[in-house]
Amino acid sequence: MSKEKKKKDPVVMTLDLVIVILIFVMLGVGIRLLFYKSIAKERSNFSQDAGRMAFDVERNDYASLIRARYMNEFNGYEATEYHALADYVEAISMYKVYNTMGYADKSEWEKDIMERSRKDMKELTVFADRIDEMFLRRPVR
Amino acid sequence: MEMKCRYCGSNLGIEDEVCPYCGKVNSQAAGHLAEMKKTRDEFESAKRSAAKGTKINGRIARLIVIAVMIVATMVMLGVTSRYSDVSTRIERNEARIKKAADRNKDDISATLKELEKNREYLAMDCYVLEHRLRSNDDYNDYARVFTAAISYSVIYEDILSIVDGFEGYEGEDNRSRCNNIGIYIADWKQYVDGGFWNDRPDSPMHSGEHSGFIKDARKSVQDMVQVYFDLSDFQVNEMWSMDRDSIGTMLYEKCEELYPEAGVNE
Repeated sequence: MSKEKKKKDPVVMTLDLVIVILIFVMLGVGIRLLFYKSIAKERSNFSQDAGRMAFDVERNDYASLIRARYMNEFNGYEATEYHALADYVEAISMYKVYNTMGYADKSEWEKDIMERSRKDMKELTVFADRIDEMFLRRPVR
Repeated sequence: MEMKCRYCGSNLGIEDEVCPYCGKVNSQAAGHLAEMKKTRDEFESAKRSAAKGTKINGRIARLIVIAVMIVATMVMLGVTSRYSDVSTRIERNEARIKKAADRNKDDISATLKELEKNREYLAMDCYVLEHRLRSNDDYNDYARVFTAAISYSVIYEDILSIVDGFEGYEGEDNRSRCNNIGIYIADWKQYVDGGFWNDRPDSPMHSGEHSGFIKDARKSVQDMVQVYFDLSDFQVNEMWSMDRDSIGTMLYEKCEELYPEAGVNE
């Protein structure tokens, strides 16, 4: 009698096996779904977080940094220090143009932005110093 | 429980079918035993049927679980295929952006006016891209303004990449950047000033603030190129009537001289 009790229904055993296989299938499909959803989220706008902006700075890709700064502004993303650094790069690049061309008002305006940005960028000032070297070392006409 | 044999009077047990002393049949016990057997049979039958019922219920429960899992997997596969298909994803994203642009038309128009007035070329380029305004018919009057902002932006970014020494992506170097700047400057008349489309001076694309923006963008590009490539007034004025290759070559010669470290690995 007790032996009969222990004997399991082969149909139930097969169904249990199917459930176990389905669990793995669902896990695989779920991971794929999460992956594609995260990609879709990433590509829904051109904003960048501080980590991605740090990557731009590390590679000297200041054009991308400035672009990301504007995109973040339009999308309400905050990365204060990196935005300040982007503002600084844009201001110094324009300062060089205005100063060389003799546009006093415009160059003063850019200089003000540079000073304000330096205060906001905190520990990133080390990059601002490097940028100064890049833009101001070359002899002005 | 005890009873007596009705024939010999001996004591009998409840389960004694026959009297062990006289051998006569104990009819009372026989009835009792028959009832016991019936009860036991009924019990066994009920037990078997319960066991069978449990087995069937177990199978049904598992089948339900499997069905739910299959449906969930199918749903997830459906959603995954929607997200994994790049073109579908892009289409859905573009449609969402267009819808948002239609909803916020007043805000977008106000921001465009502000950016145009303040001559914020880079911001304008990013704003146009963010809201896909170039492909939005509501902003057709801004077509040349957008092209001016985009041209300015490309030239600015190429100059910045030359100056800051950004290594760039595959196939990108200072020569390709100079050539790229040459393309945008040589094409200015065609695509920004509208020569390619035979724009009339009274076209809405050149009216009011638009005209000033386009003119100032051109001057800003000219100043930037003159300063960063150390061009003379003559060279920079001539530049606008040169072809793409000549501008690219002129700028690259200057680039090699002014930014030699960036050209070392080229």
